[in-house]
Amino acid sequence: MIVSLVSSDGKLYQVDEAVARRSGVIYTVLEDIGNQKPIPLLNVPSHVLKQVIEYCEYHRTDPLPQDAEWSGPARAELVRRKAVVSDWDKKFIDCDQTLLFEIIQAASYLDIKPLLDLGCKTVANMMTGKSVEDIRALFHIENDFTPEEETAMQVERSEFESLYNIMIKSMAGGVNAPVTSLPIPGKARRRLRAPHY
Amino acid sequence: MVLQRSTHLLRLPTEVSERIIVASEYREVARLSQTCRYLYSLIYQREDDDHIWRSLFLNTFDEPRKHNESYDWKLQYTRRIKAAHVLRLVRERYESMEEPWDNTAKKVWDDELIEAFQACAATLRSARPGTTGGDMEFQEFSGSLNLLWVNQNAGAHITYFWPWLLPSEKIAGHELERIPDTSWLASVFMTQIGARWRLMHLAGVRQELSIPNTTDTFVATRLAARAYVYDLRNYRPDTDYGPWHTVERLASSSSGESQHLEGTAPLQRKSWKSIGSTCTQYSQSSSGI
Repeated sequence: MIVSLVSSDGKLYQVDEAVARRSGVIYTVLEDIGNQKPIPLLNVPSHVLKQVIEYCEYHRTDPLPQDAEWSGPARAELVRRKAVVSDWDKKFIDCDQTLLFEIIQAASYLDIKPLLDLGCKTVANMMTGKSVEDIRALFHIENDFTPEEETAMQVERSEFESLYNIMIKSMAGGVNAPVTSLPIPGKARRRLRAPHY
Repeated sequence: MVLQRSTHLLRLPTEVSERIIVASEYREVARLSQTCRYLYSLIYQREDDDHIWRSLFLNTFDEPRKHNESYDWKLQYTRRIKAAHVLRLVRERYESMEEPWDNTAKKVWDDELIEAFQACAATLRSARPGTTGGDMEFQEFSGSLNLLWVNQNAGAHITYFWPWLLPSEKIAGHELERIPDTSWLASVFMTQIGARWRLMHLAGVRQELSIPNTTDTFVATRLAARAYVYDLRNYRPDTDYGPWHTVERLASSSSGESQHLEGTAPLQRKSWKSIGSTCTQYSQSSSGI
């Protein structure tokens, strides 16, 4: 059985039903009204839809994710399994940032959980080991803190780090461990008041 | 109608940004929060929504068994992450160490480590009950993320925490070369929080048994230890009506413990009531999973 999908810029894609059913949204549509008419996907442009279909075709035989598994006794195994990304997936998601965010958006819109997880994990991995400034540059985030707030955060970071610097100084040999800032609610954290959005 | 496409991290829908945050490690979460106001408020200023912290917590730890809506996911998560950080620093210090700890260097770490050990004990307390099923990889820790975490951060490196486990006179004698078994993991928590009997129950620790680190023995010894704790025949006058060791013996077994006890309870008591209150004090002082 063939399902027709229409991208936001009007291109028609024809895919197997098994492939289309990877998407929770399309699954529901097929259950409700069948596949007689092409399904319009208003939020997914053709170059993204092409990628999403490629992903779904490769993963057409995977079991659909069950939410119930997550709370069951096998959670420990699941956590570990989730962290493993296959080579094909890695290659698939290795694209420029714009397309990556578009794929994530589409996966969220179409409710394709494994693809959404893959995209989010990839974005998370991009940040690994980067400083605050590096992350700003990476995602083109504008620094909108006032200089006072910026200083308060730096003080907070250095307060935390100085604790460990004292400790490291107490070491005989010294350690080249990277001292990192942790999300610890402290005095400095309370001093900083960013507006609530 | 074509919805506006957004290809920027900050203009993603909130639920998608949250997913990205939850998929990150704690260090990246902390740094991301400091990049701009929107992300700061998304991560920290969510007064009635602890989804992010709950998910981060559950990525690493078991679901706490006793909790209600007021469980502070953020506090408990940061507490344990900080504990792991402190333990790692001590470990690295030990690895780079040319001479044994002296008391001055040791003292600097005391407070931090006690807090770290308490966090470990809390993690042990809320570990998922052991099962024999599951992946081969996880069988060793009977499917519990908490046990895995404690073992990775403290249990597997217990030699490094030697100086905090031994009475001070032994440190002076440089007995650090002796390789301890993993039952010292238990001693850490026992010394620091005085909750020996709790560990019998939770981690399968008895005086004559060590915490085993192999698949079969862990479940078996914990079962044995629990059976011992629950067996009413063990509640006799000569054990002070408890399966755990008497407070006097506890106190004499290590100087650290006696210091702890001197401040909290009289050492000479025999009645059930006073033992009960002592134990309550311990459990209160070590509570707050």
